[in-house]
Amino acid sequence: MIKVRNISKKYKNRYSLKNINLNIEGIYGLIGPNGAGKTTLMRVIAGLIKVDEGEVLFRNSYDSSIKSLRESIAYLPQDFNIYPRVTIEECLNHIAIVKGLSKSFDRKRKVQEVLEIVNLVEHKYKKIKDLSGGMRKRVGIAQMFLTEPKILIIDEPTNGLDISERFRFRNLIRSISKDRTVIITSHIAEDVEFLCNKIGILKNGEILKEGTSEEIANYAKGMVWEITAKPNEISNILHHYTVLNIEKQPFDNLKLRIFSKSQPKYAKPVEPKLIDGYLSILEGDGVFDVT
Amino acid sequence: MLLKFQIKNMGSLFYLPLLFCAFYIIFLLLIPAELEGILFLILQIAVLPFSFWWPVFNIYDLYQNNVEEIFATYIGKNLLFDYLRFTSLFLILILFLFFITNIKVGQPFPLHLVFLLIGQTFIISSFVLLITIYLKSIEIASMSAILYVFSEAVTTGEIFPWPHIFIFSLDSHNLNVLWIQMIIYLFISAIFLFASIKYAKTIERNII
Ligand SMILES: Nc1ncnc2c1ncn2[C@@H]1O[C@H](COP(=O)(O)OP(=O)(O)OP(=O)(O)O)[C@@H](O)[C@H]1O
Ligand SMILES: [Mg+2]
Repeated sequence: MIKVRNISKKYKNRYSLKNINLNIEGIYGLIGPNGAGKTTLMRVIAGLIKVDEGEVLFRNSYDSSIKSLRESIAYLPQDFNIYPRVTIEECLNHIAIVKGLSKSFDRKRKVQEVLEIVNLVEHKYKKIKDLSGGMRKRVGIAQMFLTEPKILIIDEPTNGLDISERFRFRNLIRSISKDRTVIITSHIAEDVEFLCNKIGILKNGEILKEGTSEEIANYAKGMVWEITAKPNEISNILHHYTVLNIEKQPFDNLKLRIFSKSQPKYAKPVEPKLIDGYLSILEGDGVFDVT
Repeated sequence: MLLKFQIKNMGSLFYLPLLFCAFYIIFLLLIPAELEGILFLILQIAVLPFSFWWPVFNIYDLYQNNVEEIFATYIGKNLLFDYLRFTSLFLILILFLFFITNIKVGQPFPLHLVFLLIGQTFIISSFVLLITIYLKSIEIASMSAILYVFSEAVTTGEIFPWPHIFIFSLDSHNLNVLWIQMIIYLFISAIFLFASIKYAKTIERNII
């Protein structure tokens, strides 16, 4: 369990993080728009940058000495894109050296082991620059396991991946999260919903809400509607409402999922999802306004 | 091989200092006997400043590709060892050039100049490394190094109010103090290196 206590961090007299309090356990997801402070918060938790106020406390199961604590945290930055000219194996070998695995034999074994975790064994002689985005991210994950991390911090794990790579990568993250505390950030509510048992919504450096996916979804209760319409009515509806989804139906009908505080005509209420709750929370804060 | 990874990773950038050494050797072969006097100057100004090249481009990925966020916790020993390896390699190169320059000139340069070259190599490389790490920018650091060398060359080490590390006239200089100067340079370099390691552990930008 990681307790984030009253963290504040200023850049150039502007708060990037403002009085953040979080209780992190299991797989924790941070979502928020660009510039919300997600990366800054991750760096703070990873101990990479100093804060102006507050502290991060690590509770039970971890050895409390600073050194071992630092080493039990593995961090994957938002843009992991390194050593383009060398092979995956050489890259991991080098990172292992820097991380302090000095014995050549142990290091070789460890590199092989982490390649197996991320399923890159048969690609190990490929150069980093020839890899797809997803494979590169997998090298990034592999790198985290060179030490024995108890806490994984992954910034934007699925950003920039194509659909199939995204699904594969999500499953990979799930499979490595067992018995560990994992913190991820994302713009994509769906990924967070799939992966996380607890979610925090961050905007302008402040946590707006924290809870499970269902709890967040519930904030949009009574604001999500379904409406069946003909194609020629669409543009009118799009003009007045925030349409979350359009689904084709038999007989040239379209089923629209609408986000609205008041009930649109002929609309029936539906169960909100995480994305709806997320939108309503952001809207409560005034970003999201379609009229 | 010790630097195999680093050299492969650096790619063609690794060969630039070697290219300048090659130019120097060609120049050495072509130059007429009367111009011997400027050989040592060219060695100092056109070849030796590349001492920063390898240690600095070796950490290119640290600041261009976000590796610093992974390494900040661990970096230290590696930074120092890579620096020492590359700088030793460069020193071998410089001393070799000094040696063949002596052969060409026939009447050898004072041996004190070896102390000078060693001191200059360390002070330039460690200083540019420190600037790179402090500002987290290879461009600014290498540009300021190039500007420094260039303006020193143009003003023959006068005018500008900063320290002058090159010697433009061997006659007017007391060569016997060069070994003391080397000790001082090495000492300052050590301070620069420790500061580099300290700042490499923080990822926050200090300026900009
Ligand atoms: N080193 C820095 N110097 C100055 N300002 C910074 C620095 N790092 C972050 N900021 C500012 O802090 C705010 C939060 O940035 P941060 O990168 O944490 O956002 P984010 O939520 O990760 O955004 P994104 O989704 O684009 O990755 C931004 O306004 C940014 O400009
Ligand atoms: Mg970010």
